[in-house]
Amino acid sequence: MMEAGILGIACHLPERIETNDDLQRENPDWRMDEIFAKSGIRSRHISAPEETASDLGFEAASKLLDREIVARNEIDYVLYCTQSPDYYLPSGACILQNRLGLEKHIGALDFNLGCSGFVYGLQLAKSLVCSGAARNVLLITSDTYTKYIHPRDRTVRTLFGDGAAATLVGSGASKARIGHFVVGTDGKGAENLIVPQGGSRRPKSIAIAEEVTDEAGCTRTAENLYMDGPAIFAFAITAVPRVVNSLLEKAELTNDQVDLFVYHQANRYMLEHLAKRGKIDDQKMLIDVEDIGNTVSASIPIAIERAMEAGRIRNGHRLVLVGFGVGYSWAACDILWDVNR
Amino acid sequence: MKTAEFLNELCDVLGRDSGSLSLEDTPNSVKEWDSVGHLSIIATIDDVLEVSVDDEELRNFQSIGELVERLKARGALED
Repeated sequence: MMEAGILGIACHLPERIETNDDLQRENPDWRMDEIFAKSGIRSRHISAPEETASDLGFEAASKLLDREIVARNEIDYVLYCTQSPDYYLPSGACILQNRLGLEKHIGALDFNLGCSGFVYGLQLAKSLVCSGAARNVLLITSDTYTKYIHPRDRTVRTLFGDGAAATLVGSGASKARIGHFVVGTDGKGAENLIVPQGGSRRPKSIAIAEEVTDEAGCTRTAENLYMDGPAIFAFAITAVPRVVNSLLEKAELTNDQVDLFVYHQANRYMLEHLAKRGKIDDQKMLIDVEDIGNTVSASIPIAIERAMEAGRIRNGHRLVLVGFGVGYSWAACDILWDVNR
Repeated sequence: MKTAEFLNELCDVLGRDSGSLSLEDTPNSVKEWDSVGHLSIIATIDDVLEVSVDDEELRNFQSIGELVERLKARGALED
């Protein structure tokens, strides 16, 4: 059977950095030291008002294409994962095809997933390559959740940051081989991580949306991002160990044979709990949130790219990637790293 | 697990002295029981008891007594 691999990853973070000190100054009642002790997040990048997820995705993809791993005319598909689209229509993938100067005879489509999106994107890309439908697939994962966040909502403002990653998947000889997948979905959790108003179900109001402050002192409107933290935490610590076990079984791997677990970078507390729960050695659990926060579907490729630069991923390493969150949606895959950089 | 033992696990994770939590305690009476403290309680249930925390009743509770009662009903705690 034909194989597919990751040929390259490039990332882009918006310029403006918001630190915990900034948040503390703005919100004297927030206990930022205590929040940092759990979240492990000290700063995050915030997109400019006029800068969209597709702009960030464009920058990441341009960096990747400039490396000339393959020529632009050898890219046969663009997959664009975002939950912060520029428009209801058209698709961001079409806009990116044009801006990136890609061929016109290629496929381009958006898919709407959050923290699980990168692993789903790899599965779609691998399927396109292995079926012969595409020689190379450009997977762009980018989100700007901070645009949905109310400035007085501590539960999400302290965690999320904006960011984008572009990943090239192809059948080239030098590659990180994409292995097996296990995916999962449970829409019963839809209301626990949601922007309730602004789509067709509850159209954006003409009046300014009403601000509501909950019992924890967090303020938001129905047009802002809402997260039920305990529900998401409980979902993740239940679903993730299961999907990892299923993947290891499918890939015929033991925990010990995995060199690095790269989970969606939700926050340090969640990742440490998942490491403990999965009996994963601290050295093998990648945690890289301190200066970027939770970047949704870009978090896994950003973590991989930074780990490669730091020398934590080496040839012959076996990685397990797990995305999980909004939906609920989750997915895991194994990667055999064998890239001659 | 015995209820007293479980309460001591909760004291430990909330950074309180052993034996300092009672069934009557609520987020209002326990200063460490804020939104992050609540996650720590969920994590502890996940760690030390054989019960799935992805259950609305096991993450939305207003007092220690309410939580203990629900855990007992699921056979996860003894007196």
